[in-house]
Amino acid sequence: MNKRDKLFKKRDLFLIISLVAVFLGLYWGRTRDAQTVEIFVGGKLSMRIRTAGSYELYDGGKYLMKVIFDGQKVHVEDANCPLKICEKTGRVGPGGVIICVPNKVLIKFRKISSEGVDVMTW
Amino acid sequence: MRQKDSKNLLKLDRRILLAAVSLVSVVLIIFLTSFLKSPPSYYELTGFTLGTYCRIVVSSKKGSKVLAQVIFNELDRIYKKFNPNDPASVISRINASNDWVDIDEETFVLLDAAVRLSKLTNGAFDPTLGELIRLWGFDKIAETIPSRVPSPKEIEEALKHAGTDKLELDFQRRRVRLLNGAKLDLGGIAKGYALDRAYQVAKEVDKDCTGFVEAGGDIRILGPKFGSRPWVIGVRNPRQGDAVIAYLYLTSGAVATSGDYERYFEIGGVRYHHILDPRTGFPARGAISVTVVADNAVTADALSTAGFVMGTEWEYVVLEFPKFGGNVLMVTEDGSIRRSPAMAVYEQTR
Repeated sequence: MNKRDKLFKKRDLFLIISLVAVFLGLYWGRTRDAQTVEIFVGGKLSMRIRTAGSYELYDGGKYLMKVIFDGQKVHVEDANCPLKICEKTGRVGPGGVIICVPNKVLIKFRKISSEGVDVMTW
Repeated sequence: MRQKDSKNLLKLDRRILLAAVSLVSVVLIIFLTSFLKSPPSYYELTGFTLGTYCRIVVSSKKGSKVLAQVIFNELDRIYKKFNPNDPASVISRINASNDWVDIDEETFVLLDAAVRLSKLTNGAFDPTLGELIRLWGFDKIAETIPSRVPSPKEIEEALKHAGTDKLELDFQRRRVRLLNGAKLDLGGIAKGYALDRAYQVAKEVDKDCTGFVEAGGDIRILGPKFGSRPWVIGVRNPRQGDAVIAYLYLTSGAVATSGDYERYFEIGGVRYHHILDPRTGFPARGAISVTVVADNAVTADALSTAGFVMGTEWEYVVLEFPKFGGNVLMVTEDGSIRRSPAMAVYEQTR
């Protein structure tokens, strides 16, 4: 069997690798959202977090709260609101939300896919 | 000749293999982009009204975005109309009067429903606890954090101003009167009513619309997901914010939950929360979370509050509340989960 008789030619392999790359790219594009925390203040997107860390949230120069993201879950510390419901919510994972009504803050941890829980009752 | 046949076969195999790989790749891409991805036809609107966070997820051929805004406006209208802390609201007008107050049909119907639900639950749901709620400091969520347990004398005094026997409805002249200084607080029913109104206005605009409306964890289904599938509703673990204790699968109806974990303060290791027992004047004991599934949100909202108040009588709640139109999932203080038998229907994928 000479070189010409191989099952795959170079251009065939290139085609297959390209298709696999497209497939993985699409998959990665979808799963990347799993690590995205979006923070809305007054209905407007204020911050988008993708890396672990501590983030202070301000609205028009006024301190509101500290948002802690550990890469897996997100929670709130040192909020300036009276009832601290946002702090009491604790650590939430993908698909979860933390709400601060007095400050009109919504912290949304984007869920991985459309499968799973659509909405929480609490 | 044999060598030529072999070459042709190899060439054919290669083409078939390439065709198969291409086909599988295309199918995978179509599957990922079309089936797993959230359908773009659903529009989501979030905002703050009804004293909480609201989320509207709707799909309509007549314009999802416009419909979501129409629904939000309706929620906000009801919030302003029945907010006891808004001096311009109809509730403030009624609370400020010692005499008969003429009211519109919508207010009359809601008050009548509140009285009926109160009687149905032997007073566990009580729309006249305004004075008691104010005494505990749970009336204004954005101002001061409650931190004081009222004295027994103060509670006794506040309870004298509560009870639906102090709420009179005149069906002939469509008016209402509060007796003996009673004050209305429709917190246990107004959110449910707003969700039911959201459903009504949505169906008036487009009877085929689908989606759901959520207000602070209470949910009204507008129609099945993608027209046929159930919405998956997670019931929050009352002691672990991001954990789920049960999954409910609904294509219609409503869900409401009352819990002791949102608005509360602690003194000496005792948790004092905002759901007050009209019989004692103190925060209700026995349950830490009550979820009710019903055909409409008014029933779900009121029964979840009543079920929470009657937490120590959990057998009665899980077995009798279905007769009032609500199936119950209750978490008692010891962490046990108690269910109405028919809850199993909602906990199975259909």
